[in-house]
Amino acid sequence: MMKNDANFVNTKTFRKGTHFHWAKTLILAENELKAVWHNKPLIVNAFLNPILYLIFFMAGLRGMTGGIIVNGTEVDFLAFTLPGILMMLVISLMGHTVYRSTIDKRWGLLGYKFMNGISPLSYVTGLMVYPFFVFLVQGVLLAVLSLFYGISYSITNLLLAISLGIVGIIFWCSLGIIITTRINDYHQRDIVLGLMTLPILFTAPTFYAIESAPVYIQFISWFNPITYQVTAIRSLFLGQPDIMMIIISTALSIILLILAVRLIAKAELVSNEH
Amino acid sequence: MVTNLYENVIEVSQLGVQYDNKVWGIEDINVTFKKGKLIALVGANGAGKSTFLNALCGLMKPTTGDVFFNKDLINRNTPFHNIGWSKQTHAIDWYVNVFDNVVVSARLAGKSRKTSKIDTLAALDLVGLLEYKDRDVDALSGGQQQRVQIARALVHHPDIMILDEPTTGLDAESSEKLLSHLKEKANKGGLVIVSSHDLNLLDSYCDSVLLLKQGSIVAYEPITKFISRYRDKEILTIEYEGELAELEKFKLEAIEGVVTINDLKPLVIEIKRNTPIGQIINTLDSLVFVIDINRTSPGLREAYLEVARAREEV
Repeated sequence: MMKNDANFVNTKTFRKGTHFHWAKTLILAENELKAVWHNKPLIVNAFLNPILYLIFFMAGLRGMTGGIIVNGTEVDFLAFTLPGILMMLVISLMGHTVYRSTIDKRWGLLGYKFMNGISPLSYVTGLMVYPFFVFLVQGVLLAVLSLFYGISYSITNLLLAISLGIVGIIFWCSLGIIITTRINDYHQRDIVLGLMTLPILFTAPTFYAIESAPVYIQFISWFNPITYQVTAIRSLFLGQPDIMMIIISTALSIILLILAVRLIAKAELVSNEH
Repeated sequence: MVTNLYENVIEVSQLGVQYDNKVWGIEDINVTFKKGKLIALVGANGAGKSTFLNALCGLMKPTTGDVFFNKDLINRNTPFHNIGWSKQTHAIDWYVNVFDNVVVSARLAGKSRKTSKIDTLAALDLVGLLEYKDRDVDALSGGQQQRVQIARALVHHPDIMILDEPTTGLDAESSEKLLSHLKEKANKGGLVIVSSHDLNLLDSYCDSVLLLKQGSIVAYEPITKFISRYRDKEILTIEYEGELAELEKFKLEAIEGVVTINDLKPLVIEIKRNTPIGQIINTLDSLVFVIDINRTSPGLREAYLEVARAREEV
């Protein structure tokens, strides 16, 4: 037939050449926010999380330890762990991306969106809008609450730390999408996510100085992206920017974003979820 | 509507899809769909209808062959701007309400927020869901959820519609209304391909039938032509009071001119064309109390069953 016929277009080219489109990304983002708004318990949970972490977990631990030495300066335990809580929140927001992209795969909406001209980059960034938004609010909430515990900080440093947290969201949400594209089984995916989260959080200087940890944890921490991310966020929050850590954590996010976009672009559009 | 010079809307060449387990879902499909047609895609479960439709609209990558769309109708980057697509299973976002499930389709098709809202309300009205627009989708019945999908496929006024079993779960009135709307669209120059097991409904509205069996095309022709091949038969439908035993079925089948007994209650008998039915009635009168007799020529359903049976025998 007319493979070279200029009057016809081959379906094989449908998905190629779809470019990032702001308007479509915003439509998708709006749809995502509507979906979240629809799920009120998720919103309540998102805003309760930072409050509970700070009031019951970190404030409790603070009583056991006075301060932690960072770059030769003693820092209040809460000020030290605040970036760690931010990091915990960032990781927990990965679940949202996994959950929404799974629904899209399972119910054939991914194909529907792609065929409607949503580019893979638009799709991935569209799914991140809710995590960005929630993290911003969570960050501000944490900052305000920590004032009641006598933590002082510069607003600029706080905003810089939250901004880097958003860069961290790109990493973790991209990872969530990658996991969704690679694992088609609900239970298997839940197990992987469950097993992954805690060890990753606790083999990094999230709530303690890495220098005080056993050597094997210090070794593992070098392979843990959270080490770079939390150290970078902490350095900004405490006003002692660690440029190398900031560059590494930003680079990690960019790499994962590219990988997520590439993998979702090749994803099966007819559901094979089970 | 469709204004281009080319009659052919979709051309399918040597299309084949092989699943991960190496089984071929469809194989060597060659077919052309022209504008202004409402086409019935029929076949048994597992015949490859959904695979064919998925491959047709680019959702499934063909293992062999190609599907070509008329360039005047399809934008390569946003094909669904002019395709209304509805899956067999519900492709629904369960976390947004009925209105938002539909309006997003209009918005993504490039319509303004205001036009999208107007079109969405019109589409929901067409499928009878206007009063449910603010409801959660999971609070609707299966048929209503199906209608949400249909509204989404219609909302942006596409020229081409590819609908996989859209009447599943719909009541008779809604199914008629939907097919009537699709017929109107085809009459205005669009192309509609619809798969369904409701053969009587398809018979009333569709122009052509495409019959798939085990992933291959068995027939693709105008419905009238498809049925005419089986015009040497007629169907007798007899309402009666009493019971007919299996043994008595054989008695009836032995009568000259009787081809087969399709059903016992009501009694559905396939007979050769112009067969006198006196002997059949006399035999029945001795067994049961006959209430009503209806003699009809076969439709799509009977022709389809005939083809299916003939193929099995081969």
